[in-house]
Amino acid sequence: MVLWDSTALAHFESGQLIMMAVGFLLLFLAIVKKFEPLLLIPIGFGALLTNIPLAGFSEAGGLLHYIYAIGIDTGVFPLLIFMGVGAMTDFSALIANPRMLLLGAAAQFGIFATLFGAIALNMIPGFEFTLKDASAIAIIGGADGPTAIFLASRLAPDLLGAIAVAAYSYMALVPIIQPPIMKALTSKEERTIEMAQLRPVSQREKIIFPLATLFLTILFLPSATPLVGMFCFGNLLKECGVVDRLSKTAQNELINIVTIFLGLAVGSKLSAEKFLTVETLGILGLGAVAFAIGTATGVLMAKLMSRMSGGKINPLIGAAGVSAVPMAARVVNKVGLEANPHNFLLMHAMGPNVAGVLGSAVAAGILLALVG
Amino acid sequence: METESVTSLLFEAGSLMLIGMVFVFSFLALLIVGIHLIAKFCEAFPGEAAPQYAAPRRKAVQAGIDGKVVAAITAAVHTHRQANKN
Repeated sequence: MVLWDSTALAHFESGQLIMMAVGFLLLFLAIVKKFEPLLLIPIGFGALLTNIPLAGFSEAGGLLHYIYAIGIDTGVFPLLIFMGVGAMTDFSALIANPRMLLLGAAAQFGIFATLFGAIALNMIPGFEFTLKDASAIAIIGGADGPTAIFLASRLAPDLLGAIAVAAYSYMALVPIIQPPIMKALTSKEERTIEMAQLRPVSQREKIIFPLATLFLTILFLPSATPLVGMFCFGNLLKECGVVDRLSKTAQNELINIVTIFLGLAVGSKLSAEKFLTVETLGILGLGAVAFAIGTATGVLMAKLMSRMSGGKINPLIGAAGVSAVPMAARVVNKVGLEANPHNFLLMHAMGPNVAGVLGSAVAAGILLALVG
Repeated sequence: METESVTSLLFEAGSLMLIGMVFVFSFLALLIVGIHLIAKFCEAFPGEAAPQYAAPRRKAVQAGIDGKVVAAITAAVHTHRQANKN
């Protein structure tokens, strides 16, 4: 009898079994469907581990409990990831065509519209989102994993698991979610527009850019400096050209190590009592809406800019304004090629794409400053 | 949740939306100005790094040895390397 009590079989609850199934589903999506495998595998496995009865991975003294406390509770992991992303980002497409920043700004409307939507969901019985919860959910529309995790860990730690899973799932689904919206909002002629080649950007501009961005953030939005600061630091490591070793570490070893721990820790939040709620359904739904609205406003803004520039801008590139680097830019390129086989929009889409990263970091800073 | 509190929350969310979008746009617009300034600055002061390498070399050559001698030595070295290549 004692032996039977020490097996998991005697202690499984239905919720844990369902969450383990969710973990397996994430593993399946990552391994078979190749959806964001770098993150979904650690997250899925973390979900398996945390739902094992008696093992206590996520209770005080358990491995995942400590990883979570050290890395996510403090906000350290998402920021380190952001540094690595900065070290991998090339801003030259944006520096060559700075107007693209407006597209990155327009796509952030997805975030704020979703915030409104999340609060409106409170009208339905069963939903009780506070303004903090709603802000953390809305940031899914920023299509930026580390930003979403950072903000959720600050504003709504209880919803973090659902928010992170929603954010990464939808980023993986960008090639499915975006094209119908892009096609619906643009005409065939607009999609065929070819854009002039970008000017070359000097190394000096690339070095000054992160410093200038940081400077502006310090002046106007200090609450965004954790995100923007680490991002700019990573980018400076890459562009300054004198610390190749640090730059390589930031964009390879360090980000890989942190990704493993971050994924496991996020997975540990996929416990039955926190995930199997009606709120999770709401979060998944709102996340999709956030993505769709962000894509739409990005494209509409690009359409406007295209009209004003006399047809020199292909409106498709607006869709890349929701960060999701580099997936969203690739989707733009693909949809552009479908309309005009000689039209390579990838470089042009990288501008709004990296602008979207900055835009969502700024939006996160605003939410932190006003709601946090 | 009570309707009243939802209404006030909705109002707050609405104003957040407005303030947020205005701020995001103005911040990134400011950054556009910043990038233009950086570009202007870099045009006005093009990188000194590249000429720096070239300048001392030319000076060293001009200072000591006659140009024709340098040319002759360069040619000789070139021929020597070409010959030893195979």
